[in-house]
Amino acid sequence: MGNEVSLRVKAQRFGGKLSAMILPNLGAFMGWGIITAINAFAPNEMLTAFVSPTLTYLLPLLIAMSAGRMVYEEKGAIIAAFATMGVILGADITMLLGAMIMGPLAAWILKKVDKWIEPHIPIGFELLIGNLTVAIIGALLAIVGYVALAPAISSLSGLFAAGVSFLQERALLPLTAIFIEPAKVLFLNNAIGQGILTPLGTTQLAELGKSVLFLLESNPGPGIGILLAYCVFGKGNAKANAYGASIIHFFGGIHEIYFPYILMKPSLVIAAIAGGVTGTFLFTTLDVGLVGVSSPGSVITIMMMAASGDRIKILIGILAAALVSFLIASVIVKGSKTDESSVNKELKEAAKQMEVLKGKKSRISSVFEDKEEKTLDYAAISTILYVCDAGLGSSAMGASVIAKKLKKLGIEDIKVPHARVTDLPQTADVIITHSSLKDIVQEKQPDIVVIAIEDYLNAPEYDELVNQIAEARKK
Amino acid sequence: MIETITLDDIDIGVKAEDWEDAIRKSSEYLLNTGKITEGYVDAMIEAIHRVGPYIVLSHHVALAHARPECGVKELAVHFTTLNPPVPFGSEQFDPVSLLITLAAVDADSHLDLMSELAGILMETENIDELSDCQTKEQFLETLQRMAEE
Repeated sequence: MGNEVSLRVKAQRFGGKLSAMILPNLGAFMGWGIITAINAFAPNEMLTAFVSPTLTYLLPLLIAMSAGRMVYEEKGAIIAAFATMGVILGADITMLLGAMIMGPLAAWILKKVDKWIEPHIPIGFELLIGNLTVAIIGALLAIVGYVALAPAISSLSGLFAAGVSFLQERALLPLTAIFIEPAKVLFLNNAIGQGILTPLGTTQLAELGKSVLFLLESNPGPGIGILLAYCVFGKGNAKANAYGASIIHFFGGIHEIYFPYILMKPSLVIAAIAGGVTGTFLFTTLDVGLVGVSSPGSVITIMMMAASGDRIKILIGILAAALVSFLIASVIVKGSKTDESSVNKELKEAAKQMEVLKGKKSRISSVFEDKEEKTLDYAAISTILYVCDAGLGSSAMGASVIAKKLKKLGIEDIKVPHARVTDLPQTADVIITHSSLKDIVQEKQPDIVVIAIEDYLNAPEYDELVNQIAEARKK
Repeated sequence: MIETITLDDIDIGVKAEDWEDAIRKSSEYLLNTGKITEGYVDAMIEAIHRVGPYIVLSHHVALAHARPECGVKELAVHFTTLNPPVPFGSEQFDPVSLLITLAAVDADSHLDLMSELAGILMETENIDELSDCQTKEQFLETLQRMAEE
């Protein structure tokens, strides 16, 4: 089990990195899709002039910058874009993949070189030498990109494309659902959608003008089928939540919302796969595609990105996927004989498991939590930790204000230590911090109530806390 | 520790272009007396660029500070009143008329001072009264009276 988990986590991290290069730029991808769609509908010279350069230059460079920024902040972004220019010019296909390789690589090399060179820089020359490293390494990498990486990636892309067209020609593409649907539930959905299918699909765009690959992961059909099965045949909270989840999933395009339902009853993945296979089968048979990425995978964005003339056919594919998934899921859901309260418990546990899988707290999982705030047992508070950035000025000041207020009420056994935010986590019953630091504090100490203040000296939150403690102790 | 404060630790009616300038001017005495280094001044300013105006404690009062390792030689505090008051980018509490510059050597040795100051500054009127002082002597007298109250 240990190995399996770490492999999954690794895949997820890698996938997370891939999608982190693409995700911030999806707006530009979709904007380009809109221009392309309008141009296909009503061709005009100005729009035509947009289509090719945006795809060839802007989108790969944006990806390169996001990737570079992840590795080495702004300097990384700049050298990544510069070096990627070489890869773009050296190839005659769209270099999204090239950007995803060269971007982080260039930033990483620069980071290493800078680190090595830094101690040797005479004072006053930092800026000059800093710029020179970007210039020299950037120029070299751009040339390497042109000469070596571009052809290599071209043939790699060719290989991928050949694989995809091999599957497409033999009508095997629907079988990808066997892999895609379970992987989605393990939170590899962004890795697959944005990390793999988006670059491949975009390459196809150049040839075909549209790509079915954009539909493979974003098709909301399989998910909605499962949720509808719960709406009709489910019990307890699972049923109650399924209505809202259906809307969020189908129209909002947030697929994460149905993952807990599958995690709760893993056999449902069969319904998802069958739905996925059906959908993709119809998409390929009807020869439909999208002209750009549909993210999130909502029926609305899919309709927006549909190639002209394909809308109805795509809708048919989605609905057929939903129907198949609904039928199978209904059998599975109906067949389960669990009572209501244990279903509620299961769902909450699945949502928790989902957070573990995802490796972070998910906004979506809060849908499944009971609607109660994290409560504070005021009577049991023995340590109030005050956190600030430096951990000795503002927090010390704030801590002594609280200590004074406690003392005034005759409470002397509560400790009010202060700490800097980088020294978290620490033990405490409640944490007080400035509102600008609240999120980072909460992230470091998710289980502790964090009170955010604006006014270190006269925050109304102090009095509330202190009075609550005094009240609770009286009881 | 308030009783150890002398007239040298106070500057009245300082005119500053912006908050950076205010912090630099309020650090001059500490710099000249070798209690802090240039690096400490830069660190105080850099922290605000990084995290925002979190040093603004409450209405019209800010506590400029950074980590001891950024360049503190000796525990010290300096009071500067700003005339005209300077905005620090805090929506709620701008402009700042009383700037307290703190140089702490470790996490604890200045806590008595912080506690005394907190006691004084908790009363909003005290902040205004201190900001309104026209001379160093008046400021020191007011501060010490408040500390005793």
